[in-house]
This record gives sequence, C-alpha cells and structure tokens, in this order.
Amino acid sequence: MDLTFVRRRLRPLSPWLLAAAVGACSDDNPATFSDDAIILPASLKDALPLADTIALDWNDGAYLAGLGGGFTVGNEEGRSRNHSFVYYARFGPTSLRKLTIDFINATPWTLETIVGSAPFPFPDRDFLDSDEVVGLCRDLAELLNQNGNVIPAATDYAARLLSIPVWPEPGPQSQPADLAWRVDFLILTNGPQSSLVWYSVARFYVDPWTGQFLGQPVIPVQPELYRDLTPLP
Amino acid sequence: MFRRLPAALSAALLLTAGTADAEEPGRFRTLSMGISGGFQSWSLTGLEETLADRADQFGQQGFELAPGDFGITYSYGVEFQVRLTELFFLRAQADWTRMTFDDRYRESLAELSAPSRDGFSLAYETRVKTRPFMYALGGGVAREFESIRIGLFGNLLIAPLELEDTVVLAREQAETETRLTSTGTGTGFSANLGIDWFTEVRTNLFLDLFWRTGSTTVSLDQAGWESSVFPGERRIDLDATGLRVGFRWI
Repeated sequence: MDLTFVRRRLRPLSPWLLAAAVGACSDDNPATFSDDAIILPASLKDALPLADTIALDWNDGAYLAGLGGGFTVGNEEGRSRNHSFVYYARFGPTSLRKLTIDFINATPWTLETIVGSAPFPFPDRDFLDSDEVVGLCRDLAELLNQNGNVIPAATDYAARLLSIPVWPEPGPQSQPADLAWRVDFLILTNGPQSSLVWYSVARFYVDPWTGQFLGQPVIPVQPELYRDLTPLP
Repeated sequence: MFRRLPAALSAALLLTAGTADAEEPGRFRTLSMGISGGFQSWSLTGLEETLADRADQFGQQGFELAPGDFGITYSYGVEFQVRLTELFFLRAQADWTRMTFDDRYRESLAELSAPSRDGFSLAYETRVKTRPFMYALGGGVAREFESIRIGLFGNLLIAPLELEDTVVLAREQAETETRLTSTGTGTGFSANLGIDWFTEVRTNLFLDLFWRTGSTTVSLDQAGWESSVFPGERRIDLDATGLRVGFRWI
C-alpha cells in the first residue's frame, strides 16, 4: 500500500511533533529553585524578605520591631525550619496594630492584635545572622574546652535574637544590653510524660552587630527545660 | 512513551486496508462536532514527587501528611473533526479538567521544638486545573461499518495548566490561609480510539478511550514566596488514560 500521502500530510506537523518529544524528555529533578528561594533549614536573614513581603502586604507602613525569637531550634549551622517576626503599623490616626508572623517551613501563621503603644523599630538590619552567631559560639566552646573548661556537647542549637532586654541575666549587671543574640546549646532527652524535649545545657550572649560575647557562657547546674524561654519575640 | 507507536500504526493500517478505492464519501460531513464527559486516571509524577517532599518536610515538624496522589478525576470536552478524505480526519479538542489532592493534619501538635507550646494544625490542598482548557490537535483514520465507525487518532497535546497550593495553618483560635499559584504551558502527545454509533438522525453516540503523555513546567506567580515548600518551578508529568462518552453531530 502506498502511504506516501500519509507522510505528506504529517510533514507539516513535524516541528510540532519534535517540540513535543523534546518537551516530554524532561530532566529528573521535578523542582528547581532560584537564588532567592528560602532553602530550608534557613538562617534568620534568609526568611526576613518573606516576612517583609507579608508585612508590607498587610500595611504599606509596617515596620520591623523584633525578630528571631519564638520556638526556633536550629541545626549545628544555626539554620532552622521555623522563624518569628514582629511588625507594627498604624491604621488611621489612632489605631496601632501588631503583626506577629511565625514561619513553619516557610509557611506563615500570622496574628494581628491592637496595641496601645508603638515600640522603636529594629535598629539596624546589618546584624549577624543566626548561622554566624552559632558558629561563633561553637568556636568559643571548642576553645574553652581545649583550655580545660567544660562546655557540654549539644545536638541542636537555639539562636534567638530577642528584642527585649535579655542580657545580663538577673544578678550582678556589669554591662547593660537591650538586645542580644542568645544561643542555647540543647540536648534532646526524655522529659515529662515520656516525651522527648530539649534541655539547655549552656547559653551564650552575643552582641548582634559586633559579635562580641557579653559576659561568660552560662552553664546551669542542671540542664534547663528549653520551654521555659519566652515563646515569641 | 513510543513503545505503543508500532501497535498504533498497525491498527491504522488495518483500518485503511482495502478501503482506499471506496467511492462513497461516508456519513460524516466535512465538519462534525462532539461534546463529551468522562473520567481519567492521572499520574502526575513530577508534582507528586514534590508533594511527597513537602510532606516529608512538614513531617520533620511532627505533621503527619500523606504524599500527593491525584488518582481519578473527571473531564469535559468539545471536539471538532474535519473530514479530509473518506478515511482521514483532522481533529481538534479542548478538554476542561481539574485534579485535586488535599490532606490535613488536624490534631494539635503536642510539641513543636518544645513541649507544652501552643499546638498548630495544618491542612493543605493542591489543585491542578486546565487554564482554561487542554488542547489536542491532530488527525487520524476512521472507518465506517454498518452501524458504527471506529477511529484511531494521534494528537499533539498543548497543556496550559495552573497549579494552586492552599495551606492553612491554625493555632489557638486563629488560622492563616496561604494561597499561591503557579502557571505554565507544556506539550505532549495523546492518542485515542473512538467508536461512534450511528442513529436515525445525524447525532452519534460515541465512546472514546484515550491515552495522554506530556510534561509541563509551572512557575510560581508570587515573587518572594519561593522556598523548599513552594519551589519556583515544578515539573508536572501528565500521564493519563481515560474513557469518555458523548454525542457527536455529524
């Protein structure tokens, strides 16, 4: 049977068929990411642009007042899957509102509340990131251990940039600080009701801009339940 | 995907054998139109892999979610055929469909990095839908018998798709819904075997078995939201088999 007429009819479709074949032969990776993507676990600064996007969508005049607290537990590189941010904005001449943004796996949960007074904006965004400050603390712990001190080993790290006065801790105050990174060395162990919980075995305070350590590392006599810390910034 | 090509060509040869010299033009006019509805079983491999990865990531936080599986869904379509010869037809089809996968973890989490904290619950839904139609353009052969016509067609598939992710995080009495869309247009092939039953009037009842394969890459529409959970680009492999029934005006 002469089928040349079939080929003749299909010939105009050849470019389309070729394009479809190329399209069907895609690579093995089903997802690709740009340089701007938040790759989890992420540092605090990695998550900040998304928080800004949400806050500015909430109110054009929103400003960042606090960040980096909450329930964040990170890995040994100071990267976490959860981050927290707090913004304030005016709605009309008299209404002041606060927006708390908690990220869980870069997915936001937000809470808007009416407040009576506005805090100062977060002073300077050129601060040390969570991965940098955890690195500083781990380096210091290693140095201290080489010199005979005992900083307990940790499995996880909590880096919390608290926008409330966190250092010095209650007791003799030699150097006041309104804002500091608090880095906790954590171990995961059995807690109440047979659940696995984190205990803090050591904590460090670091100036967010200079990286200077504020005082000596604090090593509690007994590991402290991490849940006793302030849950949100 | 080309493994079935020899079988399809063989079937085409059978349909054309011995009929090239037929003089009757057949019962189809130059242009015919049909409408149909039916079901199709989808395998969206690439997308399902990314959804499984997302479930794993939330799983590290204690959420127990199922990996994506779209399964069987419905579709509706309109189809035009243009008769070229007694046997050969051009074919154009537009199909509307949507495929939804949803899962949720409603129980409050006892712990999220620490015990006794406020619990979260999570629900997410992923929906793939045509934007607004998936198009098939092609041709094939069809042979009429006494009361039926059997046709075999091959088509180029053009698939504009929209992927919609909805994630709801709830904590205490407040919940936050995040809805993101990704769009893209892909290509592929489809083949269908159709059987028409002639009636007393020029309206056929037809049954169509079809197979589709192709691929679409969709890009996230909202700048700034790209993350491990919401990738900037996702590949959706379109593999489907289905069955539909309809009416055709010939």
